[in-house]
Amino acid sequence: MRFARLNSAQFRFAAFGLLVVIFASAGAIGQTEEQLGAKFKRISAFEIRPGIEVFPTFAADGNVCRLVVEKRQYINPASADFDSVIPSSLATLLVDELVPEKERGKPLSPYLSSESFVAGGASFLKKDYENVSVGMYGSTVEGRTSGVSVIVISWPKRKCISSQ
Amino acid sequence: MLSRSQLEGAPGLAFETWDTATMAVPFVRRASARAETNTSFWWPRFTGKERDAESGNDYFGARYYSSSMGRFLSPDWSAKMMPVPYARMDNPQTLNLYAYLRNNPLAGVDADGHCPPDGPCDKVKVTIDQPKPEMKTNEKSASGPVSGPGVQTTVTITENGKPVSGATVKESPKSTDNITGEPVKAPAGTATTSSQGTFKDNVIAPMTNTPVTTPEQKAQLTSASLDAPYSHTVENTFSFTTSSGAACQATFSETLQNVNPDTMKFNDTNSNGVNFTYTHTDPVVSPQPQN
Repeated sequence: MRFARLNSAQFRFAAFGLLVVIFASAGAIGQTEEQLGAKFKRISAFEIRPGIEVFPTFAADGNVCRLVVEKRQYINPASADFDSVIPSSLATLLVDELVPEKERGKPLSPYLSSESFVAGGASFLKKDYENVSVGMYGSTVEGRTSGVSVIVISWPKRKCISSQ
Repeated sequence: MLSRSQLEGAPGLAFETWDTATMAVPFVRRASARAETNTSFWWPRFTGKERDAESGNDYFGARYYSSSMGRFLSPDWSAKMMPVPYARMDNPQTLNLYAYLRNNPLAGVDADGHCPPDGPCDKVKVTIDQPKPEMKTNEKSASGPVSGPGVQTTVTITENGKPVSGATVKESPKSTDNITGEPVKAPAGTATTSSQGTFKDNVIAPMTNTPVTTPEQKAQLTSASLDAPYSHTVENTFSFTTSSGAACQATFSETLQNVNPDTMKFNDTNSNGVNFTYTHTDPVVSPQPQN
């Protein structure tokens, strides 16, 4: 079977058509921020240390009502740390940075909240202050890691407007 | 083509006896048609077995089971000659040849009417001691050192009476504050069994995570714990693989409290100077669920 030779006008037309197809399919496969935003709920996040992220939820007046601090499991295409935790000393430091003592108010008790517990390698420690509550969920993977998996700082007097 | 399991779930449908030779899709008709015929209908019933509409008994292959009596209608039998079929000297329930699954129906499913062979975790035992609570200071926890009343239990895992050593035990606890009713799901932790098949497990009501360094501080903490109501129940699951490769889990609940959550009456102080009690249920061992 022989192909007809294209003259230059036909060639330009074919090339243009090919480009249109390539761009159209790129739009269908790729996902821009706007496209993702149209499909899914937007949330905000801040990186307070490399790999440590804070996810805030806000009250109607625009003030933060809850902060969730987590360490990202993904590191790079070659590795991920599924036991990733924040060392307890760093967790304390991060809480001090996110809610300095004067912002927390006075502790409601000199002791931890009675919601706290330690059960083997798992723990939940919660301290209540005048303005905020600070909860730390800890996990020990023996021989590998031990630390805080999630820190939750909440402002009980502020009503969050979303469930994030 | 519809499968049998698809048909079994359909409401208002009855099955005629299967043509086992061809495994053809059975003739199906509406249940309302039952009264119009004299055909003996079979319905999928207890654990998916078929029920004889006339006798009301379930057909398990080797025997019929009467769900009204909770017993098989005939003794278990074995094609291989043996004094008591499927008997096991360490389990007297195996001597009852009319019982369903050694009188432990929650342990599994009888597939064919014969007492099934031992499950992979039948000979695995998990025991936990029950020490008296005391004031624990600067105990290691995932969130840093903590102090408060509690216990350090010793968990022992054996298989056929021998210690399961070097096993990684994944703990999945869910704690409930019995006073507020609030559940708190904690992240999973792991521990490794020693050569004796044991590992230590702390159960603590943490009161502070600042170091307790002097006897005075400890005494102050003990005194404060006496009138700080605390009652937590932890539903825990230990998942592990034994030396023989059996993937088992042990589920139990443990309660650490110094107050009765219903009456809010404090416990008496024990000889260690704290008013806490620690209790737990016996761990129930079963195979890990398949994903």
